[in-house]
Order: sequence, then structure tokens, then C-alpha cells
Amino acid sequence: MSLRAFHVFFITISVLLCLGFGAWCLGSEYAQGKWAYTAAGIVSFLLGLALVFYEIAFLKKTKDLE
Amino acid sequence: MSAEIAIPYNDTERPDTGLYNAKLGVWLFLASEVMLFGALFSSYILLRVASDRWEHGADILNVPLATLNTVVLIASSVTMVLSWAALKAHNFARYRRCMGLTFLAGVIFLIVKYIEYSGKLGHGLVPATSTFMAIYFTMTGLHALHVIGGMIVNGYLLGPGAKMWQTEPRRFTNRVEVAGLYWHFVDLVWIFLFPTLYLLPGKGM
Repeated sequence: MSLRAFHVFFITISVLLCLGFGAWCLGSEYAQGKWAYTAAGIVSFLLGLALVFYEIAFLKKTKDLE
Repeated sequence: MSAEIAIPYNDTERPDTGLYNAKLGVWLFLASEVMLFGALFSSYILLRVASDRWEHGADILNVPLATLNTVVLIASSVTMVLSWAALKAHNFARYRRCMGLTFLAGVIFLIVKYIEYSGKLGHGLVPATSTFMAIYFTMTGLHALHVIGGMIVNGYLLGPGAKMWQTEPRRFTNRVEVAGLYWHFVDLVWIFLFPTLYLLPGKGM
């Protein structure tokens, strides 16, 4: 597996973490009622979305990079 | 009379495996690392399942600092792959910038980890405090050692090791790729450590 392929795998896992962390911030008993965690949850979802766009751009731009 | 013997597949792929020597070597090494961290994660699961009481990581650990470190490591994986891509595009100046940023991210990660550890030790939370704290210090400490190892390699490739670019650019590019594979593995371990230690709810507390 090349670094390109491993990077794509890593970013995919990172997207899942962002979504999971966002859900934890917004839904967990610990974080509920704390505005900082609510904000962090929203930022985490946005970061996950940004990583998806980055991953698509990376795949397009590095087609010949193996 | 002396004769130089060239080592085959140092910078080109071996036809039957499709890998050059260093890439085969690093994947074998990473397989052993998977076993090492796999054993620790398995221990965590067994200890947690067998225990009547288990701390909620978020109650005693610093989630905001760990979140910051997660963002730093994800960003460092991006700069790492960009440094390799820069060499592929024969842009050495961009390589230096990206590799420098990767190294800087490693430094930031360790500083944040130091702050976190200081806070824990300052509050009397040591490995002997509980099974959870023992697991926490073992896994994050081992991970931090891996980050230091990666930084030593990255620092070498940024400094003295970069001379190879002048003489054997393809082999140097391969070295950066191999270092990048290791760095991504270390980042990936953290991606699993973070939710496991910091976010999972406790029990019986």
C-alpha cells in the first residue's frame, strides 16, 4: 500500500472520528448543557465535512501519484 | 581489486511484490506495531470488561487538550503526505516547508502532552492510582515515544538526510514515503486512543 492509499484510509477514519466526536459532544450525558461542547460538536461535524472535501480533492489531484 | 555491488530494488519496485526494499521493510515493522498496540487494546478491553468500576475518561482527563492534539496530528498527516507529493513534483523547497510543518506539529503534540501529564501528576493521578490510569499512562506514553521516534526520522530527513536528494532523488523520495507511512500509523493509533480513553463512558462510578 502506498502512502497515498494509506493517507486516504487515514482521512476516512478521521472523518468517522469527527462525526463520532460531534455526536458525543451533542448527545452524551457528560457534555449536555455545556455550550463549549455544543460548539465543539458543531465544529467537529464541519471539520468532518471539510475532510471529505479535502479527500475528494486529494484523490483528484494525486491520481498519478503512486 | 574492489567491486561495488548494487543492492537491487533500493529505488525501484521488485516485479513480483510491487514493493521496493524499504516499503516492504516498513510494512513488516508496522505489522509488529499492530501486534504491540493490538495487545494493549486487548488488555484494555479485558480489564474493562472484568472490572466492576471504571472511570469515565472525560471526568479525569482533559478532553479539550486531547481534541487539540487530535487536530494537530490530523493536520500533520496532511503536511506529511504533501511533503512526499512535493518531492514527486521535484519541488524541494515545498518539501522542506511541509516537512518542517510536520516536525512542528510533532513538537506541539508533545508540548500539549507534557501539559496534560503535568496536570495529572500535579493532582496525584499516577499509574498506581487505578487500572484506568495505568492503562492511560501506558498507552499514551508508548504512543508519545512513537511520536518522538517519528520526529527523529523526520528531523533527519529534514536536516542531514536531505543531502541524498542531490545524489539519489528517487531513493530519497522513497525514504520520505516510508517515513510518511510510519507517521500515518502513529497518527492512526491516536485516532483510536482518543475515543477509547477520553470519550467512552465509565461504569459503576
